[in-house]
Amino acid sequence: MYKVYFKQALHILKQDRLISAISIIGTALAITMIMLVYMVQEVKTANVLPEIHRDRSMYLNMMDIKYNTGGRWRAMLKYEALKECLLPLKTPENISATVMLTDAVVNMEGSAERNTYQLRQTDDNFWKIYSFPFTEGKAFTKEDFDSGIPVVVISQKIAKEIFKGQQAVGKTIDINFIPYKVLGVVKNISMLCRYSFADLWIPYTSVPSYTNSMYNFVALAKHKNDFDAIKEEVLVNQKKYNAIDTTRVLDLNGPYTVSQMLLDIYSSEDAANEIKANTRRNILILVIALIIPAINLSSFSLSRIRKRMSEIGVRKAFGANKFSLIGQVLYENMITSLIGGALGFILSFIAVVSLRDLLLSDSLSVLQSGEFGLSMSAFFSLSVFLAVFLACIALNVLSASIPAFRASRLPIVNALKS
Amino acid sequence: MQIISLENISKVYSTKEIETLALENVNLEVNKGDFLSVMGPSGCGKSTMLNIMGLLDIPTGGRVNINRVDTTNMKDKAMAEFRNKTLGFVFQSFHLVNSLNVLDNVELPLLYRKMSGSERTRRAKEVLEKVGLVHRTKHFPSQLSGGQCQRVAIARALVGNPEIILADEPTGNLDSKMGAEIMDLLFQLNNEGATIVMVTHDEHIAKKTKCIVRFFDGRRVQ
Repeated sequence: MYKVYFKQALHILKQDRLISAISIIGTALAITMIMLVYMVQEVKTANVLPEIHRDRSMYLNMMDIKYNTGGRWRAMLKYEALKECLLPLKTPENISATVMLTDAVVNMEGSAERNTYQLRQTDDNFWKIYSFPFTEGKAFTKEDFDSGIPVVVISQKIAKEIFKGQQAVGKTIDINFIPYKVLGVVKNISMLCRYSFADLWIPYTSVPSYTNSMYNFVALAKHKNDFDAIKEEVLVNQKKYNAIDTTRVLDLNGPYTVSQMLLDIYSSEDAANEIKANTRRNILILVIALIIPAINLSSFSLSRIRKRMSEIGVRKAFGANKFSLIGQVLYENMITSLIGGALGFILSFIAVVSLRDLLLSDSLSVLQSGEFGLSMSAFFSLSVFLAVFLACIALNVLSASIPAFRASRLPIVNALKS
Repeated sequence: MQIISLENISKVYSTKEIETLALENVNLEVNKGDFLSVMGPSGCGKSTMLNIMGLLDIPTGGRVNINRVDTTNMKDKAMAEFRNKTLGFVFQSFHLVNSLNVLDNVELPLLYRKMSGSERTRRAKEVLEKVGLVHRTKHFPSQLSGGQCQRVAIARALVGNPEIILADEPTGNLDSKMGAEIMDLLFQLNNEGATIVMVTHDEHIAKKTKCIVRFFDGRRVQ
């Protein structure tokens, strides 16, 4: 049965080329829009290189301090809180701390040519939690970190600009006028990887004032189900810390998942509401993106159905019931939607390639320079494919259900006469 | 043996302004193997009667029994299934599906039965052989003559092996030669056992059938 419907649908598409083209392009543009909205969201939370464990990671970069005298302030995570409450955590598979991303003046040893790059001071665990593709050398080790030795991992961008294509490992560069030995070179990282992106990575222990810095903390859970247990352990450590000095109360209120961080949620009371509101916003955008083309496509479907009234009459006369007619109309429309979906997928690919920077420009919470450098594979995952397919089905059901329903209710004699 | 029975059938078409009586207390019995011609002037209700007999339209009053089954309170799904298995239709304007080829047009009634694709094709080819069009299976209706289209329509009516064929002016859109060919085909089917009820304006054709009923102003007059 469906083979015959398929052949007929293709024949009709060929017969009525203008209407078919408009329907397919309309579907394609709607799918493109949905894809772009979905991909822009997805790329911020999905597991992408080097942040390949976002789904198992929890983050913290803020803290609240309340003083008995009545004062209360919110600040970036300080080393003391990090050291007392977060670094001793046992529940996570791994933990890492990173100083907030800063600008650094860099030049080749002995060269007067100086450039500004983005510097991340971190620890040795950082390289275990994130999966950096090294093109040369290696990362710094626990021994390097503990000793505070001035070593650095640089991006390909720096290697190219400073070393002009020559081997960088083993050479020395000045970072903020202090000589650092290059240990490794990694591929350029997208700025959308907000917890790992930088041009240079050094051990934070190599900077004498590291205890005064502001930190980002990340905990890699063994399993997603461990998130609550990690929070519990942070609370226990926090209580111990607060017991030492009763003149103030530290409230870390975290850590948070990648989705919560994206929404800038810094208190657990706000989290649920914020996530709900954000989900509602996204659903509303998707519904509008689907309904507008669905209304247009529905009118095309209706005009096609009108042309096929006599066929509907014949089918009913020869034994088609309401459900088989609705099924046929939906199936035929699905073919148009799938062709439109495939075209939309290609269009969204082109749109991502050509408009990537523009589309993702509002996602930057880090410094406003540098390349995105996110590979295309980060955008086109299985979930994106699934989203397109679901969008096709939704668009099909929305656009074909009214014509299908009307066709199914048509009296046979009226249909045959039309 | 009685195969169709219409009891006190009436049909009223209502609009806001006017009610039109299309059929008034029509009683009619058709026996198995009959070839019945229904005649009368335009607008006398013969096609309305045929549509009601074929369960394509619902009467305002009365009862339709087919194969001793009372169809009055049948639901949409049951009625569709009943039509599919018991009735075959031939229309004046053929009503072939232009976007389907000859074979797919003929297979159409079988799509609504549980049947494999190969079995559908086998049966469709069998009836196309019978109407002499097996060499045209891949052609589309627009590539056929009027007579050929009506042959395809007859093949479609026959493919489900129905006991009753209802034909509404099957030769109305054909020239006399093609009309005669179609009538020969219908007579052949009747001789093979099919019960046929045919609406026609053509007295000459009607006289060749086994029985004639006449309608006037919505009533059966003969």
